[in-house]
Amino acid sequence: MKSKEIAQILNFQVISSPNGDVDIKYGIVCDLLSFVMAHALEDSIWLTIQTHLNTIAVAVLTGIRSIVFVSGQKPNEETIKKAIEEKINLYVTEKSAFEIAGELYKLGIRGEEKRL
Amino acid sequence: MRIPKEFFEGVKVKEIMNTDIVMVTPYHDMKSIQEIMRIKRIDGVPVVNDLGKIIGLVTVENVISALASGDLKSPCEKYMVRNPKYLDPEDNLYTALKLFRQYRFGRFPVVNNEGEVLGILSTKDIVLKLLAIEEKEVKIEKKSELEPLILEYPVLGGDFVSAGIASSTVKKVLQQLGVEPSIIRRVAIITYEAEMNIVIHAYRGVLKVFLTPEIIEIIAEDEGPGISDIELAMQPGYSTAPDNIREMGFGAGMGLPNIKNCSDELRIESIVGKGTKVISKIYLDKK
Ligand SMILES: Nc1ncnc2c1ncn2[C@@H]1O[C@H](COP(=O)(O)OP(=O)(O)O)[C@@H](O)[C@H]1O
Ligand SMILES: [Mg+2]
Repeated sequence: MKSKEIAQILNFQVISSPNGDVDIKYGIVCDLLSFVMAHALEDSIWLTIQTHLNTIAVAVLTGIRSIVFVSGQKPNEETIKKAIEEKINLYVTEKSAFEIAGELYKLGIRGEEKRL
Repeated sequence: MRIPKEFFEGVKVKEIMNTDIVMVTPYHDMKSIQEIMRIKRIDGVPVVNDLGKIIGLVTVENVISALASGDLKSPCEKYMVRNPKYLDPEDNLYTALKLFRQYRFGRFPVVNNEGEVLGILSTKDIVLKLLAIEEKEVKIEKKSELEPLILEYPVLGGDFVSAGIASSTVKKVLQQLGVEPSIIRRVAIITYEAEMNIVIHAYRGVLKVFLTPEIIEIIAEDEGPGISDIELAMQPGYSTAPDNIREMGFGAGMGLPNIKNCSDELRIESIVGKGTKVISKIYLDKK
């Protein structure tokens, strides 16, 4: 499903959508960056409360296409700017990671742990 | 099989050179040249002056240098090979092959007495001539001709704003080169974790990546506190990162174990009070 469709269905606040048409295949929920680095799959959507700049680097390096900042966390200007530059979609939601993960699962998005 | 010298002497450069070439001026930016190379599937673009005379050659290696410095917007004048060696259209293939062997370049422009570029002769053109087959799909057959490709980035301790840029750039360069995604993935994890360890735990350092057709070697070297017990540091979950760093999602104690998982070979050298050197190798030719 396209990232922008997910955002619309789940009522995310859209912060940046430079690559809204990208097809999202997997999801990951985690706030530990090393864990995300090791386990995220290409074409994923990532639910996290980490909003700092380094999340964008993690997304670029893993092939995560979209980040949802959950529980009302908001990214700063630097993070948004970098996300646009690197074509990463950013969304904000008031709901918790647990809630959103459940909704994504209903939409057919699956989690998968990458085995190294 | 040995092909007699006479065969090569009987073939003229102008008969087999590629004449479907694109020329640029010194003001063309590197980004557009990169696109030209990708679309036309060529690995060298001659640079000519206002009179149409050759003054340089932009090669894939030059594009990679610009890319590695994040400098694709610069005019090609800055990166091109100046006064490149070239062939005469009347030269025979034997002369050309000697030039290839001498300089180990992948291609030479073919230039007439007036300094005008008539074509380019690449090793690809020669192979196609020898095989007498039609050109179909030709990928960038680069990488092996020259010295290893070296990427090098400074990394500053405590600089969380730039953190991740070095490893992201490495990933992009490898993608440009057509390195296999599963390999890129491993390099991305190793470079990211090594870069972050310098940012989090050390004062300053460099991240270096050496690439040859056989191996990718990643070296992260820093000036910093060093690691007193490397075995302990390698344990999953072990971390000395302070709380404020952990709150940002770093310091899970997974960095070194992640690096180990992704490496074919890993060596860590450290002197307490001086610094740490992480050397990771990935072999590309093992099937
Ligand atoms: N470059 C380095 N300089 C000094 N100490 C380091 C360095 N890299 C790792 N360490 C030490 O090894 C520990 C484990 O590293 P790592 O597995 O990457 O976990 P983390 O970085 O999450 O703490 C670190 O907490 C630190 O004590
Ligand atoms: Mg670490």
